[in-house]
Amino acid sequence: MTSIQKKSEKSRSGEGLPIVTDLVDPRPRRLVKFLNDYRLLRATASSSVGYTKEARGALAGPTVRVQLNRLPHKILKVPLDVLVEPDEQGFLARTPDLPLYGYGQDRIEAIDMLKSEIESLFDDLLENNHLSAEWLNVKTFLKERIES
Amino acid sequence: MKKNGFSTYDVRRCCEAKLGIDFVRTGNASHGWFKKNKLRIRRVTVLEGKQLIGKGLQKSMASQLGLTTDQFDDLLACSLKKEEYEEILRDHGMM
Repeated sequence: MTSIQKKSEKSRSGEGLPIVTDLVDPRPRRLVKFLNDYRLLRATASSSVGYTKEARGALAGPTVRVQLNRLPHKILKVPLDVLVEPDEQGFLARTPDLPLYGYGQDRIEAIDMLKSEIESLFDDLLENNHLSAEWLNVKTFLKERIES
Repeated sequence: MKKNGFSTYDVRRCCEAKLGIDFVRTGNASHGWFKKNKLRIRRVTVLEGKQLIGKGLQKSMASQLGLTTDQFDDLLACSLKKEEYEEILRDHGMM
């Protein structure tokens, strides 16, 4: 494997990127909406209100690796790795473990959407048994990671 | 590919009309399943609204459908038919 291939492989899995654990947006939702509405959030994302110094530093990079410990209404027994990267008009959050993405005007919105997507997928999988082998594996994977 | 690119509305309309996917709204996005004989094969999430999709978003949605970005473009541009889509999924062992 060439060094370029190795680098590309590392980039896909997020290896080597700083980890931000349990990223919870501490800002009031109305403030986020206000900043979004007036296009202020993207400019101030790296220095936004309420983040620790460490989180601010990690959020400033182009691709951020985050570990999720909780979903909107559920707790994760094992953290899920998430990569957040800029897209043309916003930010894209994805996890290498699941075929899901989150998208938002800022990184927090993207992560929040991904969290909702994971929860919604889990509920979908629990409600249905007509699933392909791939989704049965995903169901097992999520059952092992989400506290019921 | 369309001159100005595709919007989230194009993706949703195409998934509904060509692949028979029914979407359920969750927050600012909708998701739906591609099913064959009631079996859930692929799950795709499409943002609400009509915003143009960037490369990252396009790649994510294509990947959810089990397609490359070129095949996804063909699907949206109407040159890829449902039968051909199913053939691709079969080739990749997804169906």
